Amino acid sequence: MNRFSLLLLVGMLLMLWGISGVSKLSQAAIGSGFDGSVVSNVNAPGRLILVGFIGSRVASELIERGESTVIIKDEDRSLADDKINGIKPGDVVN
Amino acid sequence: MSSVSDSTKNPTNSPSRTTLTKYVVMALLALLSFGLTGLGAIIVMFALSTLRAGRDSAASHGISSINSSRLGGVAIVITFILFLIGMVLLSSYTPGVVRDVTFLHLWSTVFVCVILGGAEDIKADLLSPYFRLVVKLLVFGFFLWTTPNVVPSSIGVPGIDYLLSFPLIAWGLCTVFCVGFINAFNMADGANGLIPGVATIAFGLLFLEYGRPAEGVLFFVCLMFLIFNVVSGWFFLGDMGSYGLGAALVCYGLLGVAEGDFSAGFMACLLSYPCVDFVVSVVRRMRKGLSPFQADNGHLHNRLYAFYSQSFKSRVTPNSLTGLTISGASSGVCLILYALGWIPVESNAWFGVFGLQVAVYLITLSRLRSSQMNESAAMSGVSGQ
Repeated sequence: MNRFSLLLLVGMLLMLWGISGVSKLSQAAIGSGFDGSVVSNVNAPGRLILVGFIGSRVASELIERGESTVIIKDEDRSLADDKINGIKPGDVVN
Repeated sequence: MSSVSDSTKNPTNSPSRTTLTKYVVMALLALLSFGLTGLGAIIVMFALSTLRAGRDSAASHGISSINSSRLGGVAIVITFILFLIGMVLLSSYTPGVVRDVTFLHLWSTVFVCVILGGAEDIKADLLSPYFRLVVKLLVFGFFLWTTPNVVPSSIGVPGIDYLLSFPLIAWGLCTVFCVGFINAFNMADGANGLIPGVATIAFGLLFLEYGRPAEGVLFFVCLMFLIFNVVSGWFFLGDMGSYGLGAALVCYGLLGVAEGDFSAGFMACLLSYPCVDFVVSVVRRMRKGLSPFQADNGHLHNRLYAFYSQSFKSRVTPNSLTGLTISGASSGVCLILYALGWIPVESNAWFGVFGLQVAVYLITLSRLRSSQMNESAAMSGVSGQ
């Protein structure tokens, strides 16, 4: 594998790791019934390492806006549907 | 894949101390802002900056004095698409293009502009300027014709509001405005961090307004590119980047104004530099009897760069300072006022702020011009002795 491919692969994996992390945060927010514990916990060390100071706040903003823009995994759809009063995750997103 | 190693940037095989410092600074800024995710984006951009394709010599640019790649737009598009694919694969995120026909048309228009710019980046003058202009007019004409909800019915300026009350005139005006704006965005892309800075602030504000993932991803990608561009100077946005970002911003801006989410004055204030610089440059060239689209070094960013370069020995610092100063003093002011919440985003009072920005632009342009003329007069006096 040449240097270009290696760098591209490492960069892509790191980005995917971050997306997966935000997805897990969304699941945690849904799991806790949007009680604000995930949204307000912007300075958790693990979260800061994965998505940084700005990214942590962006993730919180995405989750806070809601229910309407939240990102979750497919298997959690039914759980989410129960908890957010009929607004399905992924609605009104762009 | 053909790539250039550090040995191209530096005659020795190992990277120089300056290059290493740049790596560290970029990595630190990316880690602080977006953590390991940001670092991943910087690594992808770095990999793309090493490609042989799209490399420009220093002589081919008005400001930059180092060899760079003009594939910055390609890097932005690839990083954006990678992120979206990741979101679709790792979550149940459904892109707006799938569920809303307005966003489907909007992003199709952006895609055509990206392709047009990409063709120019890969091979200069592959498409004639006339052909590109006609394609842009056609694609925006089609977009605004098929999605009339994007055309504002009023913008708070009496004469223009009267014209906008006629649907056909409104469609024509908006089409010409969109094409003009993209050209303005491309024309203003002359210093490290200038257009990336404006785009970062604009997408950041759009994200704060709407909270949609697409604007969040664009904000992330533009911020990472801004860091890479300002610190290293190894990347230019290129036509692909300026056309793509310009098209996305003008479409989102029109949609926001048409839906009454924010005033036209707010958008004018947010994107003031490209618009004002474009109009002033066209008027300046026409007064000299030149073609309005002929490239020259009379832009504010050229004059500010000349001013800064007297104080710095570095080749990148004055270039990056120029871009950051202008983007900070134009869109940055809008960001600060928005954050302070002094003026509601729907208010026409933003036109007043825009008027002040125009005044500051004209005064600064005039002062920098006179100081440069005095300097060249002094230089010719010295050389004549």
